[in-house]
Amino acid sequence: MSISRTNRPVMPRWAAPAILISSAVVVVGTATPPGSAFVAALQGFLAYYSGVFALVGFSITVMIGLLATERTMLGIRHRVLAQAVHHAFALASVAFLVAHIFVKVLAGHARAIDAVVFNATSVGLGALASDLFIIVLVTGLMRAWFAGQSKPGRWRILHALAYAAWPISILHGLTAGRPPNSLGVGPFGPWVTVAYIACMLGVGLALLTRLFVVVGRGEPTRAEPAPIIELASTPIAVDETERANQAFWGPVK
Amino acid sequence: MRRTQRHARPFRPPTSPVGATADRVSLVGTTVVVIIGLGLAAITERTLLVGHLDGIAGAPGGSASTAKPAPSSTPRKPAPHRAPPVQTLTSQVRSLTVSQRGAAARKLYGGPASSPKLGPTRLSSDKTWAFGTTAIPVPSSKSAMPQVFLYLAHWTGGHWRIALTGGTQFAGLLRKAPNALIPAAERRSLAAYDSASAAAVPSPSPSADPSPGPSPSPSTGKATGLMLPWKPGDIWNLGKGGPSGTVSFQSPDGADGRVLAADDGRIYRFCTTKAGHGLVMVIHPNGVASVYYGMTGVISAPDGSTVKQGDFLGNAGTDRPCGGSKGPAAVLFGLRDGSADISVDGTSIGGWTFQSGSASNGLLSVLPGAPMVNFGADPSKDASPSVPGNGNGNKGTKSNSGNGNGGKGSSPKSTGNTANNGSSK
Repeated sequence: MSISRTNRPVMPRWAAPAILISSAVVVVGTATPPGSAFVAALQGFLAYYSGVFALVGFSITVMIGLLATERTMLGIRHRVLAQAVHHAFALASVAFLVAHIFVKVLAGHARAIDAVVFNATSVGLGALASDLFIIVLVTGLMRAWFAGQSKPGRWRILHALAYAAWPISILHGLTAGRPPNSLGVGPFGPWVTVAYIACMLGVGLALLTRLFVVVGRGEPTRAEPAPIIELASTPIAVDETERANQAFWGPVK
Repeated sequence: MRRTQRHARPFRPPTSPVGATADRVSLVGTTVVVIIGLGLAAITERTLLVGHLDGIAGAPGGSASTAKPAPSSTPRKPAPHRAPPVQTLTSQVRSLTVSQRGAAARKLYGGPASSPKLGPTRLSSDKTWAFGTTAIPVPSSKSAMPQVFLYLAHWTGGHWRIALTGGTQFAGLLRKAPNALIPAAERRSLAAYDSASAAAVPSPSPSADPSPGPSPSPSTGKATGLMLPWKPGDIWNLGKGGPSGTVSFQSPDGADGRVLAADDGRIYRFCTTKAGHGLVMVIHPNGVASVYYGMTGVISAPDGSTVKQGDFLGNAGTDRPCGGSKGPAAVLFGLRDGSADISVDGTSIGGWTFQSGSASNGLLSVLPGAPMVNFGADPSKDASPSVPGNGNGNKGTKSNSGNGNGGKGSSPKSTGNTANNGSSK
């Protein structure tokens, strides 16, 4: 669900037929023996990697989301692009998260209920993190709706649940996932440790941008945005456009 | 408030390049979602078609090494509690083996340690406990005794808790294991093996104390209570140039090539699930185990079965299920405790003391390649505290009558006795 910033339609025209055809191929192909073997391998791949991809994806999502709020160095155009990347990573990460839950439930690592109801176990932490991330995703998708409400600030509070969700998901990875103690020894090599450290460092550094914005006491003076619609008429019309702009961009602070 | 109009620009619908790029980027995200959605749909369809909720079918080695994968998955997730994922157990045992014992194995082999091979898994009826064997194969160019371990696994708190013999956790897990999985007698044997160290073989040091066991003279080694692993009275050849700390025996023409158990104990096979193959280990009551490698026609007794001294184990051959370079048809013989090999150097097996590839028995001395007689069980066996009721052990001509050679007598006397027995053949 992308917000189209241009007049082009959200999905390219070849998208719908492509999805239909690929669905048909998948449904038919899975019933064939080689297709079934491929799907089994896919299941194994997802069982092994989907958690990794989800966690790394969420870490990158959080990093880019934080960086997109940076205003001293990034112009609006950069921030729009950063937000698009943030959206893309968020969607992909949630997709891998859903795949991760799905495959683990199928494998018997957890019951379906364990995926939603959280408790103090390592799997329970995962359920809590995934619940929070789902809320974060939904609020992100409904961003425009929040902006139109009387209190657009509510969006911020809900989306900030990501600050809670991410460390819990890291904890879940550390406790329920493969051990990060294999520096150079073991079949995982050092990659597990490296990945965890990289994710934590990255998010930590990205958090600094938030500190700079918050502590910097408000934003630096912006260049006035050039009016999108220029009318040779009354200034009042221009002011309204300005107000609408501010109303839209304002709560993103 | 007046706003200054900068330029008079003609009206254009906003098609900034940023917007187009942003749309494309978002499209990538959507594509990933669609692909994964299709993948999950395929997985669901396959699961429904195949009919059972198998977790990771096709995981390397998973289905081959777990016992009976079908029954474990036909009960579709027992309603009251979650079904432990047996399929992930094997991969976790492998990675634990490598992480805990890989470095030592690499050092011993002098080469890389490849992915461990697991044997069949013994599962409790509710699948929350598992017991099995794991082994780190030897590189095919090296000659070494494969490092083998037994493992226990307990599904607890949402994950498998796995312990290998010789580590710190095995004993605790063994205590908690249900009787249906590990019968009491086998539990005792495993506990002895896990806690055994080279000290289980009585020490020969002169400063040795008034031990109940014999204090063998320096010319005979530490008594192990074992006999040579072939028919007493037969003559086999001492093998040449094997891995240090082990010894190999070849069956020449005229001998039957049948490898026999060196002492009573429980048998376990490693490195294969195929019948007739594998590295054989027999855990003896005192916790020391004897290892037999290279055999063909290995007996198919299930892991944990008891054998008696002299029972047939397999035929001397060149089989290498655990890797390692091939040699002449022989049985590679060694000793182990819970975690590591015990060198045969300085030990006495069947009255023969091994040292640096040669064997000596009193005045008899055998160099690698030369023939040696199996005199039967270790003469000090009757005095060894470990083996109760070993009257049946002396299949050879050795009498029970307190020859006590290697023991109370001085060295010449014991030699004399041995020579007597030798000549009485």
